Amino acid sequence: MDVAATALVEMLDAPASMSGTVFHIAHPRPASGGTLFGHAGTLLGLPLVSHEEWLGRLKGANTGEVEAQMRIPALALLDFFEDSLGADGALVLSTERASAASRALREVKGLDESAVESWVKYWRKIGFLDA
Amino acid sequence: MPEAHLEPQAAVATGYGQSKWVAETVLKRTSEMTGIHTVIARVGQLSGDSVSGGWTTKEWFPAMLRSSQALGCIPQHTLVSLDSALDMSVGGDIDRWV
Repeated sequence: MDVAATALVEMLDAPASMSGTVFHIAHPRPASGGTLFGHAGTLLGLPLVSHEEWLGRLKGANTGEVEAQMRIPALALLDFFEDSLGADGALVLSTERASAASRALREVKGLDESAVESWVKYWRKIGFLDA
Repeated sequence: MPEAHLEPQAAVATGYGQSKWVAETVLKRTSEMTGIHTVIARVGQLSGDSVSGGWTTKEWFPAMLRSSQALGCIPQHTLVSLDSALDMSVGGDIDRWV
């Protein structure tokens, strides 16, 4: 998010001739979501299961009680997870102009296991994820 | 998807996409009519801070992880919102995390 913020500032400084230009603030060398999920599973010691199985377990855990909602926040996003099921044909966003206008985006680190590790570490530190 | 203005057909599927298209069009027309400098930024999925790892917990990805700990498993594939092309460009494309 810090890279995205820096990129936005750099785009605002783009030459006036680029006025009205559309920029995509997106990773120029994307990692697949599946890979990132895999890293997270390894870090958390959780087995990877199919979408269908995961959704099934999610629905099964829906007791309607507040305690369940707190422990399983995805219940509040059930429609989102159902709609997204199995859709792995992600659209590729061109970042040619954005990279030309933003050094931060050009030089952004790849999203690898260490990135996922830093997020998980943060969420553990604040007590959102179990250790 | 190119970094260019889209036909409205790309955005009709949801109110979310429609609102983004309208905002882009307002900026574009403003530039054309007044010469005021505008920049349109379509932001993909934002991820945590590159130094601290800090990332709000009020989002689908952290919600999925916390829930996976409770459920004892994590889903295998990419979850992508396919509401519309414009939705994808402005928020739903998790293959493009920054």
